[in-house]
Amino acid sequence: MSSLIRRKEITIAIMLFCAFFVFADRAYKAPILLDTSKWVQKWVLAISAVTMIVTFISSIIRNTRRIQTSLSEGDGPDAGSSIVGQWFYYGTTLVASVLTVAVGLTMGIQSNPYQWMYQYVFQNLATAIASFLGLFYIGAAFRAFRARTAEAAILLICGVTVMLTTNPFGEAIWSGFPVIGSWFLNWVSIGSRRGMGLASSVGTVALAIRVILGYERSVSAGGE
Amino acid sequence: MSSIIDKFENLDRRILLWAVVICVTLPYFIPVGLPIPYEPWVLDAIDFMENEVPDGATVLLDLSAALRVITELEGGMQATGWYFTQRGFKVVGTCFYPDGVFEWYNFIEPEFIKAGYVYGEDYVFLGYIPGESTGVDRLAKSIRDLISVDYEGNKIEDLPMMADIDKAEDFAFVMAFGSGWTPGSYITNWYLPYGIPIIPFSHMYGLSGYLSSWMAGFIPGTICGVRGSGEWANYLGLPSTAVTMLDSVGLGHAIMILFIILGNIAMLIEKYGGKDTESIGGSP
Repeated sequence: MSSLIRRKEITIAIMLFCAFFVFADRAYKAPILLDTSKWVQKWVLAISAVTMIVTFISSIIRNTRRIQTSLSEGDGPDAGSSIVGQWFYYGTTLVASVLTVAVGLTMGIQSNPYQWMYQYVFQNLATAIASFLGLFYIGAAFRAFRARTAEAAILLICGVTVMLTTNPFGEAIWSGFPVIGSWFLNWVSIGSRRGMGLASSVGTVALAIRVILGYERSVSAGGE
Repeated sequence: MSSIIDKFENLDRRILLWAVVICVTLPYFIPVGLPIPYEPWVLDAIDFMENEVPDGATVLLDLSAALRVITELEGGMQATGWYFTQRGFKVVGTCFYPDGVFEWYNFIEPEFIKAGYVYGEDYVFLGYIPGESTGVDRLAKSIRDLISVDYEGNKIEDLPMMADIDKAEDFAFVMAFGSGWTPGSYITNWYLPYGIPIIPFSHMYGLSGYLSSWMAGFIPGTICGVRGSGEWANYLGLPSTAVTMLDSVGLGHAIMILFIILGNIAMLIEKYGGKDTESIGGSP
């Protein structure tokens, strides 16, 4: 029974079925295609919701194992592991995860403790991490934006002009900055972005056709 | 002179970061009042809402922005909530990112309550829906098929406002906040098949992606980042934090550009002063 379920033909048949109806629903407005597509998509949403539970359980297992590893004395299979002694970080993740879920399930997500955790802990940490990234960008921009070569000079001019375009300071200095910056944004940036977008879209369509025709087996057969 | 250039070339990064932190913080204590010019894509978005959407229209408000970018979008969200009440829009709220629930109850619903909006009659919140692009597509086809109850646990058919609202064609437009590509999913799944106008309201990184759609005529306009939030709040005449943040971001960028220019001047002096350029640039 187990070997029957694991047969890759079954996986390919499910992929073919799903891809065909979702793809065809866009191309032809037939009730049977619409209804089947909706049914398939309902399953996708249900699976998406379940993956969150899987992620949570996976996170708990992973962090528990890492705590065990980091508490080891450095002998045995964990000798030389880079996480030895760092149990505190994994413990914090573990406690925060379990506490958040416990408070949410017992008191409700509209309760004051849950809202407090979300507003005063999670929000602040999330924005702080994003802000740290900003500081790294600034440091990197200062080091990298040097006109050492012609290519670097072009990058520098584009970068600085677009920065002066997207904040009001540029226009206050010289009204020409937004004009030049908009040209970079509207023609250079968008042109290249559209090129990449079209290429990836054509690739996606090709992948969809391969799935529908049953040629795409890598996702179901471990790279065969 | 040479030692000054050397020092600048090998400038301690902490000096640069402190300079930026001071410039970013200063406008909160001493307002600078930088001019607020409007970008054409923001003007087009405002023009669409002002002139092409009738009062009392039904609007879908998607809050799929992660909290990490909330500082960019908070002012814009509050301004949007306030504007919708001024126009008497009927609002259906949802989100495809869990943080949207928090944003709804903290930035949007308070504006509705202040304006005397009644839940179920003037606005409804569907809550978080997983599945992103697939969910957006399913929402366009039928809300009732996708979910049976709203976020408060009320049955959809028991909400008076939802009596005539079920699918994409029942909405005048979609205002989609996002820190990923969820607003783009609306363009794919709501605009292209059904012609429903989408206004993406994204963090700044998303701007170039949505500009592409704006130039192609897929969207009426877009509002992005702190600048978009500030322009939107300033247009509405609201005393929003987004307007103050424009000063903050403007000065932060200005000091950064100043350092970049000075760094290049130092490099050019070194270069034409005969020093080996390979040694220029400081520590990584």
